[in-house]
Amino acid sequence: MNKVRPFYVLMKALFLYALANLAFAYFNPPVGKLSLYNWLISGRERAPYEREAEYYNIAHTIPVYENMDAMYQSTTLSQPKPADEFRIFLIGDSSAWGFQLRPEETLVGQLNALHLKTCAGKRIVAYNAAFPLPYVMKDLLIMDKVREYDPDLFLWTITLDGFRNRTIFTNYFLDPYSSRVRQLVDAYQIKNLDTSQMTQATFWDKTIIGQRDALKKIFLLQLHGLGWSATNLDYDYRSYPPLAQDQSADDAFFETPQGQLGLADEMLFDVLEAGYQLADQTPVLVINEPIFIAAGVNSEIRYNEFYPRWAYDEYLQYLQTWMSAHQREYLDAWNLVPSSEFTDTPFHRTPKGEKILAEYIIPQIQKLACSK
Amino acid sequence: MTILQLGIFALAAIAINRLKRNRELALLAISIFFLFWLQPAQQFVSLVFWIPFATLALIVLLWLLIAAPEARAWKINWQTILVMSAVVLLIDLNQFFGLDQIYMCTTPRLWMLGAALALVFTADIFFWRIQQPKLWLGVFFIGILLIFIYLKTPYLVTESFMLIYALRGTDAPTKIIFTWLGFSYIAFRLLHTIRDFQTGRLPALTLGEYVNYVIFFPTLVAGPIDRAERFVPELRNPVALAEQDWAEAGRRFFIGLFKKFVIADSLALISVNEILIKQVHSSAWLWLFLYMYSLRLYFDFSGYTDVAIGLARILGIRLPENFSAPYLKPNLTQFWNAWHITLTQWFRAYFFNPFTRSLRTKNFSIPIIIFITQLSTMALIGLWHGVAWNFLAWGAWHGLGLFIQNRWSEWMRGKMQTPPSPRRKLIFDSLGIFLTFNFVSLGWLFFTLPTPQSALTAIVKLFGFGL
Repeated sequence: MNKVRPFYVLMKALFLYALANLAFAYFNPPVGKLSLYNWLISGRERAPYEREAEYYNIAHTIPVYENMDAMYQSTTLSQPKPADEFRIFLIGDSSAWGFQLRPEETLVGQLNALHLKTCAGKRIVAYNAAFPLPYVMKDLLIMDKVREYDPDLFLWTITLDGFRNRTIFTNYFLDPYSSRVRQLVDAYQIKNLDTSQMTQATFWDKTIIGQRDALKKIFLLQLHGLGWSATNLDYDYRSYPPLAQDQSADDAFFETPQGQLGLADEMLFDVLEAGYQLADQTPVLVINEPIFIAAGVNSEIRYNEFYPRWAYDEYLQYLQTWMSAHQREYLDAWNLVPSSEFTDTPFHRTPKGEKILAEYIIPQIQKLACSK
Repeated sequence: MTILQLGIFALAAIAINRLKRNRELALLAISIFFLFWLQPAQQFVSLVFWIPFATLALIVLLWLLIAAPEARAWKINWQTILVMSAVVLLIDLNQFFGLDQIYMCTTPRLWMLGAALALVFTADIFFWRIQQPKLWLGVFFIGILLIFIYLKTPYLVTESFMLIYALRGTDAPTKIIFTWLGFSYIAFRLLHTIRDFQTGRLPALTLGEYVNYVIFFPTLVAGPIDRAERFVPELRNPVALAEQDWAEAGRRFFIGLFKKFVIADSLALISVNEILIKQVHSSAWLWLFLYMYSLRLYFDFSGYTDVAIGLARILGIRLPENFSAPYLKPNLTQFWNAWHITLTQWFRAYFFNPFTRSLRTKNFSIPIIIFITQLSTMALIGLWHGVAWNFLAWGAWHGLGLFIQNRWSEWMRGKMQTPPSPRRKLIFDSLGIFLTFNFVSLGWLFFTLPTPQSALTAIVKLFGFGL
């Protein structure tokens, strides 16, 4: 037997490890594409988000949005598309993702429960690509990403809050994709988005050592898949008090006083047009999502805790004008759902609220599906 | 423990290995420092310092009772006393250095430490003069057992702290945190030395050797439980490390880290637990999560053991093995000869064998003796993990299992006149491994779930009922 020389073994191991790091950084392998989901374990119905360990997502505040490959590979939308399927991808915020709702109760779940078909007889199957963050630039980035899974139609739920230009979200969600974000901003001439604070990944960030946290999260995501498969739970359904009908007398919109909303100059409406252009041949159905409309004290000042009437009315008007100017169709469902069908926020709907919305948009979906 | 802490352990072991002189003293100083350093946060901040201090005081006082006269001479122990005092003093003086990166704890004022040291030295003088330690050894034996029982009984800990809060007139927190680092292992080493002293098997140990044996840093948190008569000769004459030994030590250390931090910590996410049992919708998944828990426990514990063995090897000491492929054993007796071996040996030597001998003198039948001794030994092993019904039920599960397996083996021995063919033996062994692993895995439900009722509910679910 050969004599083992520990020092040389150690040196050899270090050399090989350094080499593996350099190769990893150079070739930048798409490790997020490696997934146990959809073949060994069931694919998720929506992107992993919940932070509690006992709900089988990425536990202990470890989000995976830094690697959208891993995030969407874990969902059913990454499955190969059957020939007889017409795919709808839902993009949006927490209300689209389905806070307080089980997957089958969400908008996507309600659409799928109807077993719709296109005029050509294809099955219309909706997939949830939403991520719980109200930010249209995040939606654009997701749309850009999930195009590779071959959608036939995008449903994009929007609301005024998502158009606000928030650096904190840029830094939080967009930063891991800074180069792609900059490309999108340049390609679609998106104004009002400050990308100057976004960092650029260095060569060392791309090594195994630099990527160790991301790699760990991808690994944990696979393990949590077993819990998901065994329980079909991906969310901590907490109880919540009913939304208050009485509102504050303050008429500011997130500290923005009346008359200074800056819809054109400060908000991210360019992203909407970018979305239409990015989708290219794939139709995009934009839905201005329902909001809770209060009926109690000060309800003449505010629709709800998020929106003073002046701001939201201004937004409704602007959206309509903008859509006409850009010759885009959209569905305005802002007042579609009764106030009794909201859960813990003015955007999150009950299963019944989701059903109302689903029934409202079905004709438009079928129209677009048949025209394609 | 964290990888960083274990890495620091490894560096400390290598540094001590390189020393040409005073290795024993260096090991002592490092072990004492780690005893203080690893002590976790407590309900009362000051306990983070005083608990390790009490550990040292207890060890020193007991040593005075069990040390052979030739090992008690001042001239061979003064350096140890100096090092121990110096390390404790230096840790206390950190209140002036403020080296929080090294040791972050509120240490007592100097006069308090001085008073405590004076108290310990006074007690030392008292015990030094004792010629017939029989009574005091009994007191220490019972005292250590009582502390052990107290620490392992959450109810007692909570109630005693509630009483303290009530006496102080302050609101008690919702959760009481009180941990005596490594006491489960320290207590068993102390009890073993008392018993071996009483039976005349304990070798003469200097103070340094004794303290090093009890708080040897690689084994402080998770064992194995070594025996003084095996440990001390290697401490005196550490095995010289050839290149192969370094490779072996490194291999054990890194394999241990991998087992603990990669395999066990990953399996922890998919191991059976109370919440999962309520949520899962099929028994097949539940079996999978139960097996994952079984594997997790093995990799976690044996990983720590590998790390301890690797570190000790660097220090020239060969620790006993604690695991020997336990899940590949064809029956429960062999499983217990391969799982937490040093604990099982401890109970065998100090409880099972003496108890069996005493029952044999009382004319009980063999099956009755086996039943009583197996059940009581395993119940005690269960209670060693914590004084709670679930641990008692876990012990009873194994005690009954061992008894049934013993009777079955006896019955089979009578039936089988000739040894089975290799093929039949392979089939029997495979079946035995399967049954033993499943029996042990089901037993883990009692171990990990808070009550025997919840474990029984889980077992019912595993067989497809109540889902």
